[in-house]
Amino acid sequence: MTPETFAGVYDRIRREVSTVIVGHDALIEHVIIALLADGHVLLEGVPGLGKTLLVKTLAQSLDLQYARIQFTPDLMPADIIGTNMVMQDASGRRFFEFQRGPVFTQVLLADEINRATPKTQSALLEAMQEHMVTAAGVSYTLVEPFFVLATQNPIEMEGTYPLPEAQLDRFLFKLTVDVPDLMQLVEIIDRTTAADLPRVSVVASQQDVADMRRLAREVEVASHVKAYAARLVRSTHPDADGAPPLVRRVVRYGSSPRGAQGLILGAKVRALVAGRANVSFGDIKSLALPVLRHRLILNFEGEAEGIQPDAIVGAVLEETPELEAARTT
Amino acid sequence: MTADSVTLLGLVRPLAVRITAGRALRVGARTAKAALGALLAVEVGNLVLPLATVPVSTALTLAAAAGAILTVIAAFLQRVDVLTASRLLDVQMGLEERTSTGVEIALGRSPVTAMGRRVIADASARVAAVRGKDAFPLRLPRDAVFAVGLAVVLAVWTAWLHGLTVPGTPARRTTEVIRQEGRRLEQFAQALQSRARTNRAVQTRRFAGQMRELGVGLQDRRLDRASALGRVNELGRQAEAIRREIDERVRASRPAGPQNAGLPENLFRRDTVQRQIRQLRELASRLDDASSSRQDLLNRLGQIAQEGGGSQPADVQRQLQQARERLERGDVPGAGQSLTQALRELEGLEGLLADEEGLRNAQQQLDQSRTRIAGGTPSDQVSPETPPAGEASRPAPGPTRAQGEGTSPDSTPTPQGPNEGVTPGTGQGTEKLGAPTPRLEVQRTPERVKGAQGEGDVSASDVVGAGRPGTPRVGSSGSEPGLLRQVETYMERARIPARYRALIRAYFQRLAQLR
Repeated sequence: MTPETFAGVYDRIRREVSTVIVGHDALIEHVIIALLADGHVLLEGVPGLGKTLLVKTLAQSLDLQYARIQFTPDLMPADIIGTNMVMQDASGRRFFEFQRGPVFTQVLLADEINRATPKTQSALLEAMQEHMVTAAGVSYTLVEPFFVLATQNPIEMEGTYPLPEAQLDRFLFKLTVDVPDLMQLVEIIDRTTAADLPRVSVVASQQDVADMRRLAREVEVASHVKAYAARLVRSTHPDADGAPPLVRRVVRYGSSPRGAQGLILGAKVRALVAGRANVSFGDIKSLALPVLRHRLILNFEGEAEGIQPDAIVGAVLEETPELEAARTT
Repeated sequence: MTADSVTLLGLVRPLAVRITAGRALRVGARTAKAALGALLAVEVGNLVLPLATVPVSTALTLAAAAGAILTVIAAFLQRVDVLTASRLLDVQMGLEERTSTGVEIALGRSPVTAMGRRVIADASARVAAVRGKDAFPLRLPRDAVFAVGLAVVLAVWTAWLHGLTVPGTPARRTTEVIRQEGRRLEQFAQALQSRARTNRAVQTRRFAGQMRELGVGLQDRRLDRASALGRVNELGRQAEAIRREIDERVRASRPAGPQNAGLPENLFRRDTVQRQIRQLRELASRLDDASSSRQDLLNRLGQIAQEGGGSQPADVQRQLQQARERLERGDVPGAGQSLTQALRELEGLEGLLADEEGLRNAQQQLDQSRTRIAGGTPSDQVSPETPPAGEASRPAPGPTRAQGEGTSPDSTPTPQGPNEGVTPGTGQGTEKLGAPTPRLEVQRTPERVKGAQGEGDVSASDVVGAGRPGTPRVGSSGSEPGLLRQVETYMERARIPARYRALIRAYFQRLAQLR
């Protein structure tokens, strides 16, 4: 696969998803980038904004298996990864057989993930990081590509279990789903209330996705661009040299190294999407918010003042120079 | 290295040179601006403080030289490499890090992959489309414009406002000291010139003219301390050079030979030379007088030669010996000729000694002026450590009182200031009013006038002795009544004009007689 092919396939996927999803261009772009960067996405938004439809449409357009888990407080880990069940053959012999759970899919929608208990949430950890699950001492590899898209409702916090930092860190992007504007709402009405609903066709194969993932990792990154990404991540730590005053004041702990990895991986995909074979500062900057916003842990002062992580990332972007040693003439 | 890599590096290298040149120019301009700013600050600071300044031409030259030197140094030390240039080019032209990524790969910092080759080719194509002057224009740095502006301000300030001082500040006081020293030197030069004319001291007279010009020049209100000191020092150096030349000439006229090796350094004293001149003149006049006997003349000549001893110039000694021999032979005109020659030699030496003395005095005055200008000390506030020659023993002008006069029990309290008190001459002031009287700083050489002592006219007058008790020596007259004394007192108190006082006095006198 060449960069041109990559850009073409990406464009087809994006257009196909857009035939169903109205608006949310940036959201669609970021979800596809996360998929091609081999990452997972945490979507945050109120119900009814098309999150489930987005994931379903993406899976259909790529001819991938799709599964949805509605997280509830009584959901158990076995309900996700599966369980060993006692089976009986024709001779009457009984044996255990592993019944695969819904995690054995390629595109998994973990709906309202914060409603499940931490024990159940952490059942996803191994699957998300290692792309395999272990039950009764036996490991089962998931089919590639494996892509988790979790959602959480930012309003109804009653009876929810906020995701632990370790699990949040495993999501490449955290994306916010905005309410559609007037024109988009009209368009949604038109598309969803007509006699013929839009049909999604397959525009890329699983092999295409695998090839695109491989090509994305070959994109060149200049040393000073890597250094810039590293400085951005370092600046989210309150004790770092280049940390902005806001970070020093309200952040308790900054982004982990996964943040830097996520920045570069996402930027590589974005560079190919833009028709480039190299990563630019612009790629890094455009992905800083979705990559870093869920990796910042605020201190009491930050929580009390209601400081939004997006403001902190904005301050970091503003106060971190692209070229450290030499500015432009 | 692939062909594309070479192409890319070749495209970026001229841009690196261009960036280096631009940076060096900015460094140079910044340096020139800083230098001119500092010089201008010093000029402005001279309004209140006597700071050392340099001429505007020197200032501009210094700033330009500093800028040029720093430009060259910056060009060598802050040379921009290809990689940095490529990064700057990306930022400047919005090339989205294509060039810097390509240059990194081309320089071999990362292995060349298929994707790397694409990056290099892409970067080459992009950079080829960029014009160097568009990316990094070599325009005049803003600091250079500032520097030019500062240079103009500096030139205008120097031409129009240089030397202005704020009243009451050290700068103004220094200016006053310089002017005061200028007046003092001018007056000294006038006196020196007239005395040099009298003493036929040609060099001193010429030098006094220069000194007078210096004095006039120092009275310029716009003259700063550095310039004043420079002028004083320059004239001091000239005086020193002239004096050394005179010393050489005086030393050359010393009697030579091993027998004269132990003679003192200051062999020729001016008063001795003057006395010898007078003696030789008297002898020469006696030569013309026919009544003088030859033996007397020979004796006198021998006496003069003996008195002079070794303190006569070699030529004079030779001429005197020659005159003696001619006189012994009876060649009176020849002897007179030798004496005249010796006289000329002595007069020339006397002129040299007068020059030396005058120049030494002038140097002392210049040294004093230099010290006062450098220290900002006015001449009437000279510190006791450096008293001017001849002033330490000079009595202060104005009325003086004897020590302890005001401490007698029956005396009135001593007035505190020069304008206090009612009795003229009893005020005691510590400050001097007006400019000090110019005085020649020369050694006093008392000359005794020789002549025959004689008796003058004798006059006598009657001496009136003390009167005897009971016998009045003054005729009796009527005393004024107390009324008239009161009239005088009241007229004084009421400030009656003088033209009415006689009339009033006559009225009351008549009134008293009527009583």
